[in-house]
Formats: sequence, C-alpha cells, structure tokens
Amino acid sequence: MSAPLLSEATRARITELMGRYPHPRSALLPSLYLVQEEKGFVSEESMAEVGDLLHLTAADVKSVASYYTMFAKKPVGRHMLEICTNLACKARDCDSVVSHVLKTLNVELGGTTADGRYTVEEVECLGQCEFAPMIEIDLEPFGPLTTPERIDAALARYS
Amino acid sequence: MAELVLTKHRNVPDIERLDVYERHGGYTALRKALTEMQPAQVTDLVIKANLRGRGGAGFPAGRKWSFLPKDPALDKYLLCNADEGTPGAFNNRLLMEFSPHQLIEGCMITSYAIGAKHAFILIRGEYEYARRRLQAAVDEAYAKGYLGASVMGTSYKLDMLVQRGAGSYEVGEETALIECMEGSRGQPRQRPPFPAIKGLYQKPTVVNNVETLCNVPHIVNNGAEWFLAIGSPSCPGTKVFSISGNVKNPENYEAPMGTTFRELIEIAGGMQDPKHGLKALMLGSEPPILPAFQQDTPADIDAVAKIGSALGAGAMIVLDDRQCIIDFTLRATEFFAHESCGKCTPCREGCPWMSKILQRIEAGLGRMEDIDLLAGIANNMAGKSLCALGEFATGPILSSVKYFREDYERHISGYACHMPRELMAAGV
Repeated sequence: MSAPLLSEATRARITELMGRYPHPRSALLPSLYLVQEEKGFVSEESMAEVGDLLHLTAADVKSVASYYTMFAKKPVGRHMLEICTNLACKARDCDSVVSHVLKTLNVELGGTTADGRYTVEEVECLGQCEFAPMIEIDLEPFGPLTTPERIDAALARYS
Repeated sequence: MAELVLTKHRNVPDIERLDVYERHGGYTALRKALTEMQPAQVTDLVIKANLRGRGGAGFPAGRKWSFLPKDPALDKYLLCNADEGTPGAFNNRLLMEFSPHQLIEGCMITSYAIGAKHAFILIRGEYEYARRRLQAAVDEAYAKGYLGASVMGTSYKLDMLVQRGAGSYEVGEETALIECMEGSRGQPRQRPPFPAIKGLYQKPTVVNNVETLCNVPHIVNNGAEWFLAIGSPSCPGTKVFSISGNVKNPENYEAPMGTTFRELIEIAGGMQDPKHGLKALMLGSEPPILPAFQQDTPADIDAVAKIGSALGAGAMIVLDDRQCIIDFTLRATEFFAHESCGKCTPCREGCPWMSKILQRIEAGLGRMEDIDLLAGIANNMAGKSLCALGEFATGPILSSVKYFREDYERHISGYACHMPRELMAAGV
C-alpha cells in the first residue's frame, strides 16, 4: 500500500470532523475543502484517500466532488478570479469588465495566466449586486468596477 | 418612515459582537422563550403572527413547525437555509454579515420550539466573509453558555454548526439542501415524505430561510399583534428588498411588505439615468418578468402572485430601456441550464434547448416559429420536474413572449433592439 498523499495534520482534522456530526458522511464536503487547502485542488488519488477515511468508495466521493463547482478538479493558478456575468452585473456592463480582464491578463475564460497567477472564470450571481459590476479574487469582492483603473487596482492586489 | 425591524441596528458599530448585540436587546427573546414559554406556545405565537417564509415559497413558518411529530424521544433538526442563490438576492448576506447573532438567536428559539437538539446553518460557499462572522458568533455563544449542554443555564441543550456549501444554486431547494448537508450531491428528493417527517438523516427537520428566522426574536419580544400591524394583511411584517440594476443606489432596503415596486425604486434613489425609464423588473431569474406598467403592484407575496409573478426572495433587478429583454431572458435561461442538477429530463434537456434557441435569436438567426417553439418547450417543462427549477426556467421565457413579443419579432426580422418602428415599416 502506498504512502498517504494527505498530510498527517489533514488526516487528523478529517477524522476529528467526522465525530462532529450525527452521521460522519456530513464531513465529506468539509474534508474536500481541507484537501483543497493543502493541495490546491482535489485529485483522484486524494479523493480515494478521503473515501478511505470516511468509509466511502472513491466513486462516491468523486460523484459528490464533481457536483460542486468550488472544488477544483485540476490544478489552478495561485488565485481564483471570478467574474460575475449574471443579471444585475449584466445591467451594469459586466461585458466591459470581462473584455478588460481577458485583454489585460492575456487569458481566456476558464484559463490560467501564463505566470500561474490567476485562473479566470465566469460565474453566476455572487450575491454582491450592490457592487455591480463586480469580481471576486479568492472570494474577496471588488466593485463597482466601472473603470479600467478600478479593475487594474483590483488585479494588482494579488501576486 | 416605516419601522425597521431586521436592519434597525445596521449602523451600530460592532453589533456582530455578542456583548454589543445584547446591549441593544439581543438574546432577550431567547431568555423569554426559555423561561416563560413552553415550546408549543412559541409555535402558536409564530402561527398567530402569520410569519410567512421569506426564501420564496412563502409558506407559514409556524404551521411548518407544527407538522413535526411531538414525541420528545425523536431526534429533530433545524436546518437554516443560508444558501442564498437567487440572482439579484443579497439580503441574507447582509443579515448574516452585520448581525450574525440575530440569526443565531432566531435559530435557537426555533430549535427550542420544535424540540431540536441540533441546528445547522448551511451557508453558500461563496459567502466567506459572512461565514467567518457567523462562526465567530457561534463561538461567542458557546463561550457564554448560550449554546451547548445547558442553554442559559436551563435544561435545554442545543448544538449549532455552520456548514459550508460548495457552489450549487440547486442546493437552495430544501431537499437538495438536506442532501448537501448529508454529504451528497445536492439533488432534490421525491416529496412526500416532506422534511417535517423525514428530512435530515431521515429525521423530522424544519428547513427555514435566514430572513424568516431573523424575524423570530422580534415576534417573541413584541408579540403577534405588533407584527400583524406591519405590512399587508395576509403578508405581515417587513421584507429586506435587494434592489439592483439600473437604479442610482443599488443596496438592500428593508420596507413593509406591500410597498409598491415604484416606491421601492424611489427608495433606491430612482432610475440610474433619468434619460432612461423603466422597461421591466426581474424579481430574480425565476419569476415571470414584470413589465413597467405593473410597477404599482404592492410587493408582497399574494399581490405579486395575483398578477402572475412571484415575490421570491425579494430580489429586484431594475432594467431600463437600454436593456434588451431577449438578452436578459437568454442570460437567465443559460443560468438555469448551467445550474440544473440533471436529475429530471424536462429540465435537463429543456433548459439547454431553450438557451440554444435564444442564442440563435440573439445572433440574428432566429425564425418566427421559434417564438411558439420556446413557449411549447416551456409548457412541457413547467410543473413536470421534481423541483421548482424546471418551472423557474420557464418564467422569464413565457413572460417575455407574453409581454415583449414585439421584441422577439423585431430580433427575428433582423433588426437590432432599438430600431425605431418607422424604419422597420419602411423595410430598412
């Protein structure tokens, strides 16, 4: 049997989490977040290991992880840049934000910048509509991004 | 100026802290419920106050609580729906960020009323700041002895846990929320059985929205008559309206249920650009779109249902005459195609199909028969899936075809959105 992929600390935290719920399966989503915290994304192997700890099959864990958009299934950039293009942001010209971000970072939607700094995604409503048009970088909201300067200032905050 | 209830202390510094919250009357209601009221009396009070669910369904909260079996030996759960996902709704976020203890107190009183020993708050994964505030507040409540083995020194014990969602709009549906809480794919269940009988871990469960629960301490403190005197007769209390889009000051504004949409736009500072008047209101992505002529409708659950739409979670995306209704209908439909959990064929197949037709129309490749085709697909979806998402996806489409058919015809005839009629008639 190969050496565990996850650190002893992560494995211990997962085991501890299982005891907090009436049913230990409820620890699955929090466990996947712990894996993502340690490794940057959730791989097939790490999902199998979570399954071992929670007494679930690897297929079961993968089925759950695949349903939720916030678990990265492959390596991503150092920072997640999410641009909202839903209704309220659309009414406040999010299209200009999208084109400025993609042009400035030289990246496509869904892609990662060449220097590994940002993975850029288009997302659904983030519930920050008073700041429309807006983006989030690592879940920190920035808006209203009504000028290119404001967008550049947000991008400059992360390296 | 109407009385503020939930956002009264919005500008009090540090109200997210337990000591400041208590200095402003916080946890008085919980103490009163625990020491002066039986659980059944709390439920009766909330029934009498006619507190209707604020998440969108509008079901009377107290009546939902009363469905739970009374046997004290049974495990019961409270699951707070903090998975706010309706596009344009951001009132739950405000409530959790600025006053997490208000929600916690509401959860605790409700748990006491239904006999739950565990309360869970499932918060959408993207609300990281709100989650931190909530977690800090829960920790404070434990430290003070308000949560745990002996709530406020009484024999009632209650544990509370904040659980993080991971990106899924469908999880906001109550049975999908339960599935997510259990550690499964957030897909809905067949009902019956309803959560009150078989919910979380197949045990009796009450699922309530954040804003609904935040009202509970105020009803306990001030009584049913006080609550009934605010808002509309059949829909009492206030609503925190999330007003966004083409208004001067997009923000959350608390107002009595029944305030008209026209009045709410004024409260949000009026139209963003005075040269561009109101074209339509989207009360989220789900309800039928309200054309401008309906703006004098009172914003309460029943009045909006009467005109064929739905108040929903209180989202109001204001669209002025620069916006293209087809474009917004397309965006809403793409949202549903993306978020459909895939379990039911009408929704899984219908949402992308309708998106593709709308994309063709937007690209100038529409055909006149597409309008009836869209309506036909929508009618084959509405009410034919396990949850309301399939129905929601038909809202913008059926209403835009009904009220903005001319815009469809104009697009399909090859004209851009704002081609004046005279030029169209001249065959330009």
